[in-house]
Amino acid sequence: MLTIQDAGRQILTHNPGKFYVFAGEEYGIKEKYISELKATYGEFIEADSVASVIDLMRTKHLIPLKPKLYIVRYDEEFSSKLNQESNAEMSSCKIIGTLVCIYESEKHLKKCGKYLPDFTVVFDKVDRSFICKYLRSDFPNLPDSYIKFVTSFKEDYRSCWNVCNSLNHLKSKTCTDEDISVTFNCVSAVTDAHFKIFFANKNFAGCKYIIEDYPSELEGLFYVILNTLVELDKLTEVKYSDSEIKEASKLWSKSDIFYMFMHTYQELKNSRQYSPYNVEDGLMYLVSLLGFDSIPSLEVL
Amino acid sequence: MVSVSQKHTLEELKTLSESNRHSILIEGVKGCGKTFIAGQYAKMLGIPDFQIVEPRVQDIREASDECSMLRHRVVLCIENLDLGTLASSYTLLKFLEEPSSNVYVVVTCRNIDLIPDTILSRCDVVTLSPPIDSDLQNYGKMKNLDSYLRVEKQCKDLLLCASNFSDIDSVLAMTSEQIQYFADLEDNLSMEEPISNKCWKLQKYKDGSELPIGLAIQYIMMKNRVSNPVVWFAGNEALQDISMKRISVNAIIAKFLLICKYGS
Repeated sequence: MLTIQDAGRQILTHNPGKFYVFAGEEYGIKEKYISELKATYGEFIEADSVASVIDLMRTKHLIPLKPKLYIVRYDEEFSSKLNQESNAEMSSCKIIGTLVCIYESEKHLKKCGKYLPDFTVVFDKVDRSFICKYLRSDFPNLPDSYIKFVTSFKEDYRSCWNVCNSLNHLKSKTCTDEDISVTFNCVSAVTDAHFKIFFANKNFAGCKYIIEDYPSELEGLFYVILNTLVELDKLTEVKYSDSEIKEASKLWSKSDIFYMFMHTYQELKNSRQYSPYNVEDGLMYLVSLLGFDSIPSLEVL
Repeated sequence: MVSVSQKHTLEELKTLSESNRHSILIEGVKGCGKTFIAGQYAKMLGIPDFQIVEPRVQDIREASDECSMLRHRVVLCIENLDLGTLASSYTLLKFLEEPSSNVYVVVTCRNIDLIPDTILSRCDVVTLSPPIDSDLQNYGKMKNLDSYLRVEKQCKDLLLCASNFSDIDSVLAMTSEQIQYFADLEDNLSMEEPISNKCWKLQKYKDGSELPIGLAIQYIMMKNRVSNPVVWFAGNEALQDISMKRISVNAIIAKFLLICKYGS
């Protein structure tokens, strides 16, 4: 099977193959490649079926056909008739231009991958660096830090592209990560890292936002807080240590770190008892302590 | 070898065995010999088939299913039931409510407060006292006299801080380098170091193998017993939390070290 990168190399250099099957859920890059193919050929036709395009190619024409892009979406009949000979048949088929057959489901991906291995492109989840590369070429004037931040939250190309497109229209490119995060509802599996940054910066609003929309088990955030505090302790002792919360460590005194650790540990212990305990309330209590100039001790509270 | 702390418990069990009691619960701190005593109960009953079962739902279910097909008598020892989930306790309860005549159940636990009342009401409860110093000495010498004398010579404090039979087992199994690591702990754990570094040192020997953390905390507590009572109290709390196994060991150690650093 062809990878997205293999197909990309051919299509983006305006040197496409004659036949592709685009199969998989990654919608954004499929459409990007289709747009590039449209630009390459200038003309495109949305055909009903693969069979109709092949018949067109086999029919003799007085005036030769111009190379065009032919797009066929979700042709069930073509998929149902695939067999061991299909790959050889399509290789020998003379197509003037490029024929792209599009599917989305896992079922079609597997079948096309099996019977048309030379032509099937897998549009599955793509890695972050690949999305970044395409976004940099789509938005050359957008700061790289925006692209990196957006791709750390959004997992597919189309969602990332939409956010970058909006940011690209801003007159001044001075958004903070928090602005982007709140405006575009950037919550994902990477949220622990951002909760750590919000917490270390004593940012109550940011922490509250993440707690309310956290996608995994909230109890994990107790450990994120404890680990953040241990890291803050290290930053107060080892001046040359590098960390994304190095600047934030200046907001914390040694007693702040100590008392916040004790509060968090106590809440974690409470959450492990058999008696009822609301984890969200416990976490909100902890982040509310960030509002104090100095974190109060357990005895004071 | 029976220790002084176990004699009274064994006498109680002797009486229970004479009454052919099928459900016993033995309560005692970690490493005091509960499972050993459970084995002694099986001997008192004259039952050679003694099986240890983990406090997990699946394991308890499988053990009860297997026993229902046996004809001979068997003793099942459910180890540390309080460390399992409530579901494990209720699975056992179901088994205790429909007892087979050939099956004897001995449950052990560290914290009896975590055992549901419905199980306690169906068992005869005996308490096993923690071992005293002479028990630990005699046990260590009997188990491996050469190792015991080697440890005594190299780092006597390590033997003094052991509080149960499991600790003695751990100490006797240590190499000379590992014993020396303990002896050097005081110098290696500087208060100026970050907590994260100290956490690592308290969990791993220099060669990267695991250090018995409970013993390490007891060692530090013993060294600070007179000069710094805060460390003693923090250590006790840490040991309790470690034995409950409900919070990650890293978090427990970090808390202990933070109290040692900032709490006094």
